[in-house]
Amino acid sequence: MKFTLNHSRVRPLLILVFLLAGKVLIAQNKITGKIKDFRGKAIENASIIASNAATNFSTYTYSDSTGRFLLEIEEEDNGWVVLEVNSMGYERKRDSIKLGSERTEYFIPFELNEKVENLREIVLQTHEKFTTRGDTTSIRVHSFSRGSEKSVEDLLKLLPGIEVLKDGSIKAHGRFINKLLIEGENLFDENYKVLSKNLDAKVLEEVEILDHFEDNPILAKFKDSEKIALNLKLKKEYKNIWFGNLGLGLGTDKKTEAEINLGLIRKKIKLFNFSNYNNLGGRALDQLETNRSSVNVKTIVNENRTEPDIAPIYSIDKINSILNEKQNVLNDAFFSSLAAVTKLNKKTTMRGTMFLARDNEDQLLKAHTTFLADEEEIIQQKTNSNTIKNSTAAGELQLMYNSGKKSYVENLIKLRFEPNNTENEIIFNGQGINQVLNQNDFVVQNHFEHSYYIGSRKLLYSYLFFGRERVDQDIDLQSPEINKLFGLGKNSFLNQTNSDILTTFGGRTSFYQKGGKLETQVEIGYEYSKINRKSELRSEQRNDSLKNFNNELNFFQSTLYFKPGLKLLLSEKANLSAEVSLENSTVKYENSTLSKWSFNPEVELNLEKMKLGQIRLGYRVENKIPSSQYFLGQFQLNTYYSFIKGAESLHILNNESINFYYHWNNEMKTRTISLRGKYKTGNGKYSTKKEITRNFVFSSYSFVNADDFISGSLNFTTYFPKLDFSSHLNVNKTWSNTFMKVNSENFKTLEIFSTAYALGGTTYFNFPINFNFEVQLIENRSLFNRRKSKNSWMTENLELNYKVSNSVNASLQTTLYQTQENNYNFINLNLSYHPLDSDFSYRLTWENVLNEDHFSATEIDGYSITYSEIKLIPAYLMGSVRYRF
Amino acid sequence: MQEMKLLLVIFFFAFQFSWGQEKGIVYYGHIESPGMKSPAGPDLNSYLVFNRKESYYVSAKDSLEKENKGQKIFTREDGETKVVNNGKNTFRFGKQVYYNRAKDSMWWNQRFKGNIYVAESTPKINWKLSNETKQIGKFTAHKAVGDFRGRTYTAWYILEVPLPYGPWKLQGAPGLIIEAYDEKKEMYLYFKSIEYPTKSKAVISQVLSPKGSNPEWLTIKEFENLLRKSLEKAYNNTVIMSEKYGGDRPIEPKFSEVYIESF
Repeated sequence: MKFTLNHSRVRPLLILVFLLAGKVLIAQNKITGKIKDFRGKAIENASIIASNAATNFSTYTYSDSTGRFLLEIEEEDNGWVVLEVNSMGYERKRDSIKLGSERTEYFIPFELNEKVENLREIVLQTHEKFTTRGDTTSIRVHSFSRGSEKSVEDLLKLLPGIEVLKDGSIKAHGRFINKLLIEGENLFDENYKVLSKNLDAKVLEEVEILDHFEDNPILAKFKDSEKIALNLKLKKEYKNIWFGNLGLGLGTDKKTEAEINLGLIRKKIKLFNFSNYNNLGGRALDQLETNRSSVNVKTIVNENRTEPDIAPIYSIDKINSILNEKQNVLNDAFFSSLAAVTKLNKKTTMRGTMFLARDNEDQLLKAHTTFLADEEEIIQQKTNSNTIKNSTAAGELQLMYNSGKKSYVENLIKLRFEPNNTENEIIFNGQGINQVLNQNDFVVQNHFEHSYYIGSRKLLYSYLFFGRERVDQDIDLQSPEINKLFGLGKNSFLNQTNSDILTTFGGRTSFYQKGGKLETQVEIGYEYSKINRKSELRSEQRNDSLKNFNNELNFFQSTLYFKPGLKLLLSEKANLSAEVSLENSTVKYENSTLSKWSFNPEVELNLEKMKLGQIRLGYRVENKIPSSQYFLGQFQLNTYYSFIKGAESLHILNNESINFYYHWNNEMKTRTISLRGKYKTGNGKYSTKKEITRNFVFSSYSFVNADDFISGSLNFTTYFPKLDFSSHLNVNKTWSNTFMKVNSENFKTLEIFSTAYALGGTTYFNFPINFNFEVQLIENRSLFNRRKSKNSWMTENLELNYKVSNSVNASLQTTLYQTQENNYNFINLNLSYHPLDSDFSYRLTWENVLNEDHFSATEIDGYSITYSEIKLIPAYLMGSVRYRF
Repeated sequence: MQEMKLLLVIFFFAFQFSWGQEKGIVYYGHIESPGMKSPAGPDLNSYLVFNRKESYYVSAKDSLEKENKGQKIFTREDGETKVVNNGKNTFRFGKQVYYNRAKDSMWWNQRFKGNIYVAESTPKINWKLSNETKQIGKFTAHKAVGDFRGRTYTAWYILEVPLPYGPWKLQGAPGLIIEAYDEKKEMYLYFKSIEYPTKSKAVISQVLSPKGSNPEWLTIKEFENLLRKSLEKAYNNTVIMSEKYGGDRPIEPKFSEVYIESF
């Protein structure tokens, strides 16, 4: 022992024992002493420090109730030892003593002089100014980084409390984030993936998780938001300068990826430019896909934006497969984005974004469809070859004005232009068909929000919107069968032009009040839409219009509603929310008009924190205006072999649904069970009526009064801490019952039953190799026209990770698809190397090692079975390097 | 003469009594940031009142913080204000530590899924004294390093107050500890001011609890088991969530990375 510690009272007997022991044990000096005041009174609790400056040794103790103390000092610290005695209310006293080898026991008495103690000192340590943000969790990223992360997304995956899902959506503290801010600014809004996937991980200093986030300062006063956001904070050296990264990857088979990213963060302006190119299957447009959001997130008022959305009538078959896009998308993708935020003055902020995306894609599809409409099977066979050129140019401009404590105004303008060109060659039932589709989609919209704080927990929130979408289609079609139908020459061309325009506007005002256990809200709103759909089919041979296949539809709809609602806290474990919407819906087209009042209640009871688990029960009624596509007056060409027409009568759609959710976990949280159930019954919907022949399909709509849908899911997850292994079992079942007419004048029941099972597991071993796996079995059955059909497939995933060292990581992914026809096995290998403290990083990838070149599967949609075969991306090897500056 | 003697005795006792009762107060900044690897947690006010026999430390007390409404409005560097809503960091009686030297015991409370109360004999910290000193205000503070419940603390004590007290549960140095932090600064206690003697109304009290709450005093072992179980639960939960919804493989947390005190 280098030093002793004794700050409690040492009894005289003990001292004696020590003194005696000292005789026996060699080489330990004992310094005892007694501390008194001038009156001879023993001083208790005085601190005595002994130190030898030469041997850099110190020890200390406190005196006991008799004023005695004992210090033990090893022989190696012999020499001059200074003793310092301090006691409250007395002056400090020092004495020194030379410890030598000739003796081991020393006695040193102290007499202290009284002193009036008066201490007053104030120190303000400004350098210790740390962020005091109650619900902000700040994470210094360097402590979590492995150094091999490429993008912010890769880094977020490693941070505690943050998850990144496969589609790029981000969750923090268990919920989907609402915004991804950078230096406090919301640059990308709902396109935050552009930021997380492209910004270099190296520039980050800190990530903040903002719980109960609300960027509208008026709504924030109610501190009820369940929204969550992330704020990325940059390292100092990346502020006020241009920074970014360059990346290049080259592979066999002309595989290429390249990226240039630039950023500038200044007080006045924040700006980012991300550009990338690849031909590896990653679609550029996917980067603009909206992220997922948590359901049932409590917000004070309805902040959802109403955006225009109209779907064109004509379409070209596209590949829709269960595979990952990197396995089957043969494309060229270019993406570029520019985003900036700037302060116009103290109260006004302006945000702008621009996106450019272009995907050139080739698809090859062979399909064989059997319709189960009649006693005899109708079979269609096709080989489809598509060349698709999809582009998007989009921009947003947002102005935010914060007038002070009472009101907040925000205006957002969004523009989007999407030109698309698809060339399609088909061999349909042995005959060659050509079609070219040129489509332009243009959307403009404006959203205005005003929040006003009335005071004493009352709020008025208003929202106004305007939107317009126009989709123009121009189709050149050369189909021998359609030409025959119109009595045209076999190689004659048909041209169809479609123009669909939607104009919508409206607004709503909510009054919200918060009490202790009761929150109430009243919302009044109005929405109006006008849809104009025009189509013309022309024969180039006859140079005239095929009048019976043209449409011009003017469709108007409006809804006025009054919606009171409340949320009541029944107890700590139970709450009830209810709202009723009283709606007046008016629909008008051609000579038909329908105006109807409806009553739409919604109730939810939530019981939580019970021993039994959590239970949520909900009931809701919905009345909806049908969409305009149900009201086309005449048959209109919608694919190269089919025509579609609207319904004869106008009705309001209605459905009722019941939801059930149950969740339980054991006390140690090693086992959880979740159950979900939904029953939905339609009291009115438009169902399809199809006339199918070998070469054509004619569809129209008719109104049915009943259909049912039931779904249920079960999840059971367990963790075995002793085995370092966790596993999950999911079962999903859905059953639906609907009515349709296929080659008959009578409705027939179509029953579809589908089941999905998944079983998976993950290891948490201490050694560097770990794996996870999942086996999925999917089965669909249908019953229609007394004919049963069934298909099923199985996928098996296995991922192995090997952390070779801190800078080298290797992984292997295998996916085995077992369809009824065949087995397909995809293997990918990855090796990444990021030397620590280097601006360069390297990656080696070998995709589709077994070189699977095609994939076939069977799909059923009730009355038809389609067997299809698609071409896959062949095996390639790729090396990439990335440089950061 | 007899009267003189009596007077002297009274004076003597009064003097003794007054010394026993003479109290001092130290104000600290208290930042607890378990798992954050930096002092990034909320910066709370705290104080220590003491006399020669006992000390009472309190932090996270409602009345010590100006903003305890659970809402934080902060001004960004560009002048714009942002509102972030927060949960409360403080509560009525705060986190308290009462230390009695004669009984060589400590009583304390903290929030951990409700209020918990622990009574234990004073934990011994083997402070290694160092020659290093630094100036904190007018004081020359001396450095001592000691291990306490899973962390190594650096403490800066002053000999002007040669009493073994300190902020939170850190005690037993040759003088009053006025600054202390662990290696990651996840527990960061810094000095703001001192007054001795003080007329402050702050009392050296036993651990206070809400009226009628009748706290159940846990032993330190029971507290340890509580933490152990909670840690296991939290990790189990992350494994379950990652298994259920997919996501990166969670890394098992170390006791000392999650809690300030580990065993």
